[in-house]
Amino acid sequence: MNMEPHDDGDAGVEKREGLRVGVPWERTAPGMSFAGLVQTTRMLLFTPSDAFGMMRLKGTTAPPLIYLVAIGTVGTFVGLLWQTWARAMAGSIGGGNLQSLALANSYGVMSFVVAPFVILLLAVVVTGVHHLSLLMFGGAPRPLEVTLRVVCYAWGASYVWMLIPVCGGLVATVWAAVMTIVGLQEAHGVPRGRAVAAVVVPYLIGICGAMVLWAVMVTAMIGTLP
Amino acid sequence: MRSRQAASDRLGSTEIALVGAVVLAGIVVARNYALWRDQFLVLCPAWTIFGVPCPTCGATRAVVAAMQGDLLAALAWNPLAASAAIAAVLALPLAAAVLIGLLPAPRVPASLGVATRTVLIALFVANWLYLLLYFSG
Repeated sequence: MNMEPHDDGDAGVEKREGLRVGVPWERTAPGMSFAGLVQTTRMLLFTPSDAFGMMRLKGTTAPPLIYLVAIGTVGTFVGLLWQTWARAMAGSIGGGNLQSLALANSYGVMSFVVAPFVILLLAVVVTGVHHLSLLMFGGAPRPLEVTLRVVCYAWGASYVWMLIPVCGGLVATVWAAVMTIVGLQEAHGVPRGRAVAAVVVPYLIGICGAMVLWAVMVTAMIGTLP
Repeated sequence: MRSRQAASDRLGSTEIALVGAVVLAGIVVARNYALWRDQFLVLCPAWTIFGVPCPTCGATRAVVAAMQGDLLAALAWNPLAASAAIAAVLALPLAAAVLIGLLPAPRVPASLGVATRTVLIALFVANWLYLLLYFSG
């Protein structure tokens, strides 16, 4: 299924359009069910070329958005559980300050409540950045909607790595970047170099922003320590 | 291959609604800056470690100032981020007009011309140069 979309000419493009039956989550069966979720996630994580090669490019964007929010919310919840556990451990070692612990946990609950909205909004921002990057590096042959679908599935599936304690967030971020590259290549039919540039360059520019975010989290965590 | 692709595509209602939601959420968050500012009071690591502002330095403050209506302060913090924030707010009524069918959806080009790309890169570099001067002064 890993076809070279940029080398096969017009006939290949038309043929591929006909082959896009959708990932399991988008099909009639198993569709938007638990089985569909598992099959789609497994396919996205381990055979992303196949998954993005069959992902639908047209029609309603509800399935990818729901997929992202569903897995993202669960992933956020698990990540918050790990953070709470880490705070509790730190508190038990260093002598607990119940007030700061309760405050940190209440922020955690708030984060979980707003997680679906934040995830959705971040997906829109990330989509805009990657699509603009594609345009800057030679063009995005397909509409913005296709980039949104790629981002939803790539980031959605990557939230699974939040199950890993401590470094889950980092693994998820790297995995999401790699999957986004594969997704842009397969869905937009652009050369791999352009897909890599569209994803990596914003990351490089945003490293400072990421450093700020990291510092914010560390500061917030230190602030909650007794 | 490109001959079969449209030169531009219209944005769908979902995309327009989502972008509108992002802008509205940004306004709400920025208007309540005082509620969360003290929780995340931190110095920029790039500035602290290297003494050089990154390309996004001042962007949060610029967006917050723009959303609070202090346009001059916003432009001073980060002109590019402030301009984007102001443009996003100004686009909200247009997005609403598109969603209720008063205006056609805007088109997104499939590629950018060399001139457009050059201008965008020049704006980015100029913005960073400004930040280097602003934060060093």
